[in-house]
Amino acid sequence: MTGQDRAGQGPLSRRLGHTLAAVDHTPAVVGGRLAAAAVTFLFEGRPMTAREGDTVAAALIANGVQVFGRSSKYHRPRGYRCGRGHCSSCAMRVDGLPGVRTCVTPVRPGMTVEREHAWPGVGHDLLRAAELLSPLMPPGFYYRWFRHSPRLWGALERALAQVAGQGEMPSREAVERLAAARCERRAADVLVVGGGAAGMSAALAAAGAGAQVLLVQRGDRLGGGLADDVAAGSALAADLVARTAAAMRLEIVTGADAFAWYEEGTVAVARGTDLVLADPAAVVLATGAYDVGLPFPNWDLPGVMTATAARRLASRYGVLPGSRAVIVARDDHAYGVALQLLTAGLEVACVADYRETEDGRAGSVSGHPVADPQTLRELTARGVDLLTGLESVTARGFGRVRSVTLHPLGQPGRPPRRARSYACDTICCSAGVRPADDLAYQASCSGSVVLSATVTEASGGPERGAGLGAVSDAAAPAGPLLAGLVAGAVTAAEAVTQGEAAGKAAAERALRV
Amino acid sequence: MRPRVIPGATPGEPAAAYDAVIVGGGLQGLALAYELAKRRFGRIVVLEAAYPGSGGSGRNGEMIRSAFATDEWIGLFDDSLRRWQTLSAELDFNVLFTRAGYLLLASTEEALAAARRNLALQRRHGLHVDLLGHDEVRRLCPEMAPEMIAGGIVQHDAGFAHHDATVWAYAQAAARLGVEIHPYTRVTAIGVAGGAVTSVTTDRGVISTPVVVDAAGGQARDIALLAGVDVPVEVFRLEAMVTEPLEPFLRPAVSSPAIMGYCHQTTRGEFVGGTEPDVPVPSTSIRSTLDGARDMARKFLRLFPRLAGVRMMRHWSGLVTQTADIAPVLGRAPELEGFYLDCGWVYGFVGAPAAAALMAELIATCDTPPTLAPFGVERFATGKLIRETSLVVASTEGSAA
Repeated sequence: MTGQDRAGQGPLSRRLGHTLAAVDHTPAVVGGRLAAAAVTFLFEGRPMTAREGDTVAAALIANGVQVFGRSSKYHRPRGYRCGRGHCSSCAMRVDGLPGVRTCVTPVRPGMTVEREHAWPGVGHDLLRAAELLSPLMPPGFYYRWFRHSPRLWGALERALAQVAGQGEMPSREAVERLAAARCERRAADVLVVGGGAAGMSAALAAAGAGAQVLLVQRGDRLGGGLADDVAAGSALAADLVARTAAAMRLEIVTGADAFAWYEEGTVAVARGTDLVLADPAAVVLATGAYDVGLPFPNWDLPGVMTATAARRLASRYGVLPGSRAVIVARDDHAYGVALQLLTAGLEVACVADYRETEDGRAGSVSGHPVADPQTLRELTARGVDLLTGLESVTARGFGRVRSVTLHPLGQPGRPPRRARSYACDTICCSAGVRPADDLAYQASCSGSVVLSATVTEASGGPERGAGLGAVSDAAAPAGPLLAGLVAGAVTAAEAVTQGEAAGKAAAERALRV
Repeated sequence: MRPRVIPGATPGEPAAAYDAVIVGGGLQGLALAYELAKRRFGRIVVLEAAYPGSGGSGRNGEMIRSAFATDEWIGLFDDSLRRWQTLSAELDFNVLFTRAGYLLLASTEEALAAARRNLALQRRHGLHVDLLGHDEVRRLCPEMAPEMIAGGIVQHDAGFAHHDATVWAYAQAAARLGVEIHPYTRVTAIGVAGGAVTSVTTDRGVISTPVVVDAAGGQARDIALLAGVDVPVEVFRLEAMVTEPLEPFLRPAVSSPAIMGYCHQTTRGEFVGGTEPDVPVPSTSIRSTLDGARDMARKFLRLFPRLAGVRMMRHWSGLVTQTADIAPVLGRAPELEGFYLDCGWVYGFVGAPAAAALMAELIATCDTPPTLAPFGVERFATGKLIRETSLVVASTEGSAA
């Protein structure tokens, strides 16, 4: 594939989104999509088929749905983005309840799914006309405007209120159903939040040391990022999952979002509309990390997603996010994901790295290799352009991504390089992570959790997660123990080691009490 | 650690002397600094232990009304409400005052009878209030549970505003008039000589000054004690929450003594509110509690059953310093020349604009404005407490419901 501008050739003729037929040709996709049983659910009144084990988001993408919702102010289309329940881009009305994150909600037979916040419909939202006025409405404009005319402000404020909000209130049927929602207390010595490599290792170590362990996992299955990474660890993850599932004294709760750590010492876990309360003697946070977004024009178009999210779709659900992707990178993680997506059957046109190389050639940043030579060779051999030294990126499209333009950095003493455009329907962003340390902060307002400012030097250069980890304060006896990406672990081995250490410490703490 | 960019904050170190030092960079302190600067009082500094608005000013329920049940409260708070109507223009910054009306809900016939009695007083003060029956309240708030509605008083020109916008507006307006605002500056001592204040010591140095104002919110009592002044206030934690944004279902701000709660829906669609436990427990913690979350969930569902299944997006705590009669302490400290009190607030957000203007008048002219007079700290010694009965505040004294 060459890097010529194909945008002029008109819209992509290929069907956007991926059917099962498309997945048929991707034997490398893990997850056994074809083997799974079919499930029928209702999307805006239309019956749609999913595979058992799909999330709502994965099923919708497999059925060609790309626009998941609308932004609050300008009604811009929004699509699948983080794939981990971290953002609200995929929120929809499910069974009469607003704001359900479809990327972590498994499909159930007969489920009703509707998009929110648009008129007459999310597919064609006339309220998007609001965006035409956007040049008149810079961020925070209302703090400057109307300050001298309370009447005008009052009128505008009433008009704004009419198009604001996201979902409607829950339906009366949903409210009636919620009367049966349960709130239960679970006894546990040790609570582990997060079912990735670190969390599973911590749970296994704590249970092995004799503690009663509760492991809560936000998504629908254990494994975390590691399970999605074919090259680095899906085998390791599968082993951990099997051992965790078989372990004594270890209870696993999936689809469980630990959202609060209250002053009483209680951790509250939302499980759908049910609530699980735990008062553990020790807590291990293996909550992973948030993918950092990349700000560029039209970053929010459907089709722009994190590399992690794209990989998860392919590896867990056997669904490809689109047909042709450009990967925009600011970390090394991108290259492995690119190869994995390529192997899964997605056409990858280019991996464009913001970072500049010393010699202007792809493959290393400041003398540090961005990926192993084999990965780079394979990407090149399979026609993937490797670009480094980006100044900026612009995505184009209306309802979803149609093309991307990459503007290279100028180099002193050399003629300016020309911008390259690619026709694509998917842009995967990989720009590093920041720790998902919210619960740690809730647990210790006084600041016993601090961000570590040290960059891990072990790998010889900037790495995913390095230097970003929160560290726990051993002097705070009731504070959280942290393990994995949230604590700055870079490799799977580090996550496992940290998890085991945290699990042991938690068991000691719990059994001493 | 001093973050570099804070609206209105002054770069550099505080000077060695000022004409007035205001302790506390919340709404009270910033508004007072602005009003003093408008009167060209001289060099004014606001000292804030964290960042402006980090305490109760950024944690309150943002509701605004003046329809109370006593001359004293109506006097002070209606002065404030009038200022709220034009505050955006005055401060050159839209504080997002939403004149959506304020409903004080009566859920029992007894409460409705009390509302009827208050109505006459409120109308005598010229307030734009109406007494609503069951049907009228249902029309105003269609999602409200009918069994919670006996009637209520609606104040048409009241409503709510944005608390952060108000803090920024006052901070920047004060800074434009030359007020210095020093965040992350902790007061550690107050110097006194010959029955008058002489200086304030901070972790960044000593400042000499003849005027010190205690506007330290949840820490007001500690600050007063540094000057040897004992303010009879007790500190309570209040909790509040905001839900995910929903399409509009509630226009006015609503207070309900029956659930000891208050709430409104913002223009963006979030439902914001707080409730108070039946028996308040003194606390200086600002962590959130499961009890608080439960109390809010249970009570707001009683009021708006269709909120079931809606997510709390955030839940937070803040501190109020409560006096025996829940009214604020405003005025000079009788035993110490140059030491002023602007604390003990529970309704501080709505009250700030008037309190600041009146306190500035007092400090600048040494005459206590009549509206301010009933709120002096002397009332706790003389026993002339203010018997306000329309508050939605849990109280250990049982003076309010």
